[in-house]
Amino acid sequence: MRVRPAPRGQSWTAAAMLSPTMVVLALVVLYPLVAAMRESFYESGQRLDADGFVVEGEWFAGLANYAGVVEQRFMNAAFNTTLFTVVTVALEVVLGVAMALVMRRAFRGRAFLRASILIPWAVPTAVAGLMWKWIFQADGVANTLLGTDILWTADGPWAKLAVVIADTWKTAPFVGLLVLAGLQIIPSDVYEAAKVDGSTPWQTFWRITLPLVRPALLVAVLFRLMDALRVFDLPYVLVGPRKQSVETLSGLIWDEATRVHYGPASAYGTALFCYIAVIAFVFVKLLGADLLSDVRSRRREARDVA
Amino acid sequence: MAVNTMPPRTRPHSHVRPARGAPRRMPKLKTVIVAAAAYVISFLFLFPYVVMLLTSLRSQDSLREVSFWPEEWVWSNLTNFWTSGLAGNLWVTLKVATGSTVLVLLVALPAAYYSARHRFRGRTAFLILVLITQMFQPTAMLVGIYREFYQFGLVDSIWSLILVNGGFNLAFAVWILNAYFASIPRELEEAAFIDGNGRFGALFRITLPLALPGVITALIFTFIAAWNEFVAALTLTTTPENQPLTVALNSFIGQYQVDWQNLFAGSVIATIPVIILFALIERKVVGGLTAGSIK
Repeated sequence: MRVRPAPRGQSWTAAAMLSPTMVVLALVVLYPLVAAMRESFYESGQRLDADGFVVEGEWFAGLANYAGVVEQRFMNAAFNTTLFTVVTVALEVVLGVAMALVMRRAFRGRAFLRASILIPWAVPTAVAGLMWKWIFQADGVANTLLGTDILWTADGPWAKLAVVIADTWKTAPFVGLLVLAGLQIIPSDVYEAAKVDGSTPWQTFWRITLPLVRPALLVAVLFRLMDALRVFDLPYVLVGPRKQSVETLSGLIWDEATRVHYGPASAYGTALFCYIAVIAFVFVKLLGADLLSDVRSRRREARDVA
Repeated sequence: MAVNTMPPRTRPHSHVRPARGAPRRMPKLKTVIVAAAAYVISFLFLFPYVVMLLTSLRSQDSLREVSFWPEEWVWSNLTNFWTSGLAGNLWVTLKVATGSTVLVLLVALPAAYYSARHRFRGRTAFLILVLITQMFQPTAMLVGIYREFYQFGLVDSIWSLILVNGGFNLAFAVWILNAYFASIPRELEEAAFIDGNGRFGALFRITLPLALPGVITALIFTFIAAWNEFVAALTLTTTPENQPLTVALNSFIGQYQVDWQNLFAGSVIATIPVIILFALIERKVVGGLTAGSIK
């Protein structure tokens, strides 16, 4: 699409139509982001001036706010965040693909199945967290069914598992939804050809279904990665704030902010932002070329047909 | 919540054919096995709801009983909600979700329409910028947002929540609406214009009705996301009466004794509207995503 330089009157219309969006985004996203980044290099509060008077104000602090990044609490939160992301996204991909494969089949009650699988995605995370907190209570449903006495929601290794289970339950449907969308565009003659060639279901899945559904799956994983890296609600509701075993980077930032440690909170926020940006960039770089080539080959096909 | 799906480059009326039958004929036994697996999966996904629903109908004394079904059904838990303080929080949630949906509609519609219909300098930059703002996550900006609204005197006010939720969902709305408008042939609108409807007549009689499915999808997405939002509301509200329901429900936890039955009565009530709205657009979501990839 080539952009023609607009005539004068048109650029005014453009400004009028687009500026409301720009204003809202500037207020809610751009300004807070820039302000937080600036804040991460400043320190505020009281200190003594040269004459020994107490002055209140804000001064440049260099990288002092970032000092906490190498400390144990931040490292622990970064480890938790990474662990949750890797484990939940992996589980959600496996479950999501399985769910999509089942949802594609025709059988009695399919509409009901689809609805029941997709509903968790629409439920408020805060409510889902409460629900699982009740199930995982010491004398709750989970322990009764399993016949165990596990303290799921107390600080400790089991809390990690509880958060992983709840998160997988909540978001596997999202992956399933995107994969289902990808599955539905695979032409049925591909499967018929495979059947004629005597392909086993196992081979069909690995050689046909998976490669063809790959673009949709990659998009789902990218969105899940960015979402999982900033997880906050579930650990907060299910286990609680300031719990070492499940404190994520977002949790740490929130905690510092509520203690009015704006400097460190902003510094950690900037660090988390960079972490997510790097992961997204690497992901797109490693696998994105594939997505693009896919689009290109489709375009070429379209041209050949025309 | 992960409502931020990819912006589907949709063609509106390309409904997905629900995969009618598997691509090939299956033996009967296989269908049975798949169906059985499906029922097990849907049971696993629905089980927590059943637990929540049953708990919301128990009496305080029977919370700890081992039996799965409550011995007596206490329907008053659900009706008591409306006279408790939580009804006020539900009202806040409703106002925030409605307000941010209206804000998104007013702000995103002109931008999406204009950028779909006209080529102008900075068009691509605008769309990419909008998309990038979607990537920033609330927690990194939380300090900035809090301090900004503190300066405006808007902390603990419903307006800050409306603005924040509108802003968080704006990018998705602009993209999905842009895709819908772009898919409506210009000629249709121009024909209506030539027929003497005027620019606005053409817009309101032809283009908007055709784009209606996209508009509704974008609005319901915004409404659900704002209804479910937690972190920003937790940070920006300080008095219990001003908290939306998601935050208010969680402040029950950590009290000396948790009234789980009332808590879950509130949760059930908080969940029903979202599920109804989601059911309305569910097919369209899958359809939109698929249409995007066919192209």
